[in-house]
Amino acid sequence: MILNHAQIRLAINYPEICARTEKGDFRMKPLFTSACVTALFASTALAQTYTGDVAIDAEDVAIGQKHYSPYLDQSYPNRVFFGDTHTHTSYSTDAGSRSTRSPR
Amino acid sequence: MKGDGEAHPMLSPDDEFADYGTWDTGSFGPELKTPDMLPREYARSAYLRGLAYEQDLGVNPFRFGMVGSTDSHTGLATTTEDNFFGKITLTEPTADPIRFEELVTGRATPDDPSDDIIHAQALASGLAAVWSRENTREAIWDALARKEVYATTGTRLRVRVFAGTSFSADDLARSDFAGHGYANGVPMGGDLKGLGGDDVPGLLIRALRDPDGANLDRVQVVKGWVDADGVTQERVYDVACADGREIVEGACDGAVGNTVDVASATFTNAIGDPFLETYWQDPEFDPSQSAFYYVRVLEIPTPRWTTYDAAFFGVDLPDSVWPTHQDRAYTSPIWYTP
Repeated sequence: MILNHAQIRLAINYPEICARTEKGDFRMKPLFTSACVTALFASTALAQTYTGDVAIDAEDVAIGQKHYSPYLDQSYPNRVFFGDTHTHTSYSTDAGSRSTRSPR
Repeated sequence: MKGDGEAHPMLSPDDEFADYGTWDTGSFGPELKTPDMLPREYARSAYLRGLAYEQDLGVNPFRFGMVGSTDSHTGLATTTEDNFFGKITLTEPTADPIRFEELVTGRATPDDPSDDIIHAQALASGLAAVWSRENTREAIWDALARKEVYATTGTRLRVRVFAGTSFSADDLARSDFAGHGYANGVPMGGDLKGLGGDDVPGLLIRALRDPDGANLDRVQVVKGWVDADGVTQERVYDVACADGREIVEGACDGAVGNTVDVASATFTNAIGDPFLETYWQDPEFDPSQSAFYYVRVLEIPTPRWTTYDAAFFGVDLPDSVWPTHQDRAYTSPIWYTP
């Protein structure tokens, strides 16, 4: 069975699903038994997502099996988020000591 | 807010748009600014110096991504000209002269006004824009780690870049533009290495204006490289021009114009284009020379926050800044290493 990223990630992030599956009280047992086994092998590689290589590669453009919806097979950035990485609030000594009161 | 850090007009004398929001006279201590400090204070010269260090050391210490942020001290990230709440609580919106005249730098040298910068010169800037899979801490962190980010001076224009050697102008029309770009090239913040033969880096660039903002004037590629003598060089190419202007010797043929009515602090999108795209290949590529390419997108002129203030509060315009300006975006570079 070919699993998509979401299923593998679910199994990695929620090991209790694996435990429950092994006890036989999880409805999607066949799927998640496979996911849990895959997760065992995949967890090392996926864990590196957060520490090492975060580049978008060819696999991120087409993941796993063919789906009707193209979005299930995509794992590349398609949204822009705007933010501020340097804001002083009332919690900052520089601002809080000079009458900045937000947030209280 | 405390000056724009992309480029300085003395370091980039051929770049007519380098003098944006320049804060280069003051400091927070007693030392006056001297010209020899400037090359260590601007992103473009850091990228160039990084290439030079790489020649000497074998490693480039300045491979950083480009983001903007406010350094606001009010707890408010207000980055648009028509909604600027100032640097500190003292300079929040008011008709009081303190809003323009509050001294930001030069406090340590009260007898010397040459290094004074006042709050009227503050910029309603900037934002960090992040290309991400999803709005989660993990995905945004990953985007920052791979430098797939860009800076804006406060507006929310959208810029996308892919660099590679197999692209063509036809790729701009693809329905799978992004998927094709990722599969066959690298996005902003990425690397190209070891090209040979007839391979020449080409950039697919798309820029879309802030949906609630001003049209675009032009798209530019800033290239920096180390020449055969080991000297760093830079050049700014105009690569897409709004309103059908031709590109003559690497520059848009004429200025985009200015629709701003200063008295009422309004502008119109009767000039400029909401969307610009292009495919650009480096006409002077040398595979043996280290280089970087980043994209700068300029909006059409709009009223500066001080102009909105003058119209709203009925106060005089400050004479230390122009009444209009061109907000912009700078992407992280794509580096080429032989």
